[in-house]
Amino acid sequence: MAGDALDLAEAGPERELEASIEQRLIGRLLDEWRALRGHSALPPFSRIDPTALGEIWPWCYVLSLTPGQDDPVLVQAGAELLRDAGGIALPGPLSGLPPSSLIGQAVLHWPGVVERRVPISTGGTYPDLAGRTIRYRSVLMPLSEDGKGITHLLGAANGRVMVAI
Amino acid sequence: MVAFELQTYQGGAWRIDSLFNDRKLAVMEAERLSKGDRYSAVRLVEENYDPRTQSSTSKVIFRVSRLQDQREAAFERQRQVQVEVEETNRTIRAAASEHKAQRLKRRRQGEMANWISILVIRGGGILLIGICLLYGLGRLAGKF
Repeated sequence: MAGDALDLAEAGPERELEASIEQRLIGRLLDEWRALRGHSALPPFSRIDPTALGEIWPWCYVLSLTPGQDDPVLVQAGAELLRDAGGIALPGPLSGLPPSSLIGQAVLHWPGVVERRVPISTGGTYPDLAGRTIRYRSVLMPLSEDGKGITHLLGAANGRVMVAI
Repeated sequence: MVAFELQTYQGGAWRIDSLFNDRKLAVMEAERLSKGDRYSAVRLVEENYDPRTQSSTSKVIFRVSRLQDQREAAFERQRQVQVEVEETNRTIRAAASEHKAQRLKRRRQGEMANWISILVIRGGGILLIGICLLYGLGRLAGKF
């Protein structure tokens, strides 16, 4: 996965500057969320436009929430996240996502977003299927069709392979 | 357990904008948000939760307020105006003092001139009277 600035890349202390790629991804999506929200509490899902997200869309995903169900459904996901997860089918339940994938890690804190009703950004490390340590950063934001209940979650995640020194 | 709460000031109240578990990213986002013009103030609160005691502490680790900046700018302008007023007052007082000194000097010079005039007039009068008396006495002495 080379060539794309947002591709998984090698990370180390000497590559601290490149961490800003994940920071820019999160900042950009938060800006979009704030702009769509305006003066209301939550932005509507219908106003999410993948084309407006441009180059960050391959790292974004959307979860659909159904009241009373504990397993949200992954309804949209960018090409890079799908590839990282090994080509999962859409739509699909959250429980079906591989935990050793970027999206599998990024969605873990979705109950917190529903509870707090604000975007939550998390970061950390996890071992991928090849046994490499991946450092990642993610953000997950609530969306609402009626401005009250949370109907969808919009997220983004990016990570890089950590190099042992 | 540490979390960072990014808050924005809107409609007279602080509102949670987003939550982070990464301090560096939270600070960067707070700085980025504070540079925009969407919010009048931005602050970042560090929340520390101790699961043993089930208590949490919080402290503000970043804060930028456009209102505070405006207040500080207004205070600075007010301070500069005060300095300018004091400077002007000092200049006016110095000019008035100079004017008063010159007036006093002129008055003293005038008084001196008057005093000399009076001295000359009085001296001249006395001299004239003396001459007249001497002349009168001389005439009287000539008769006898």
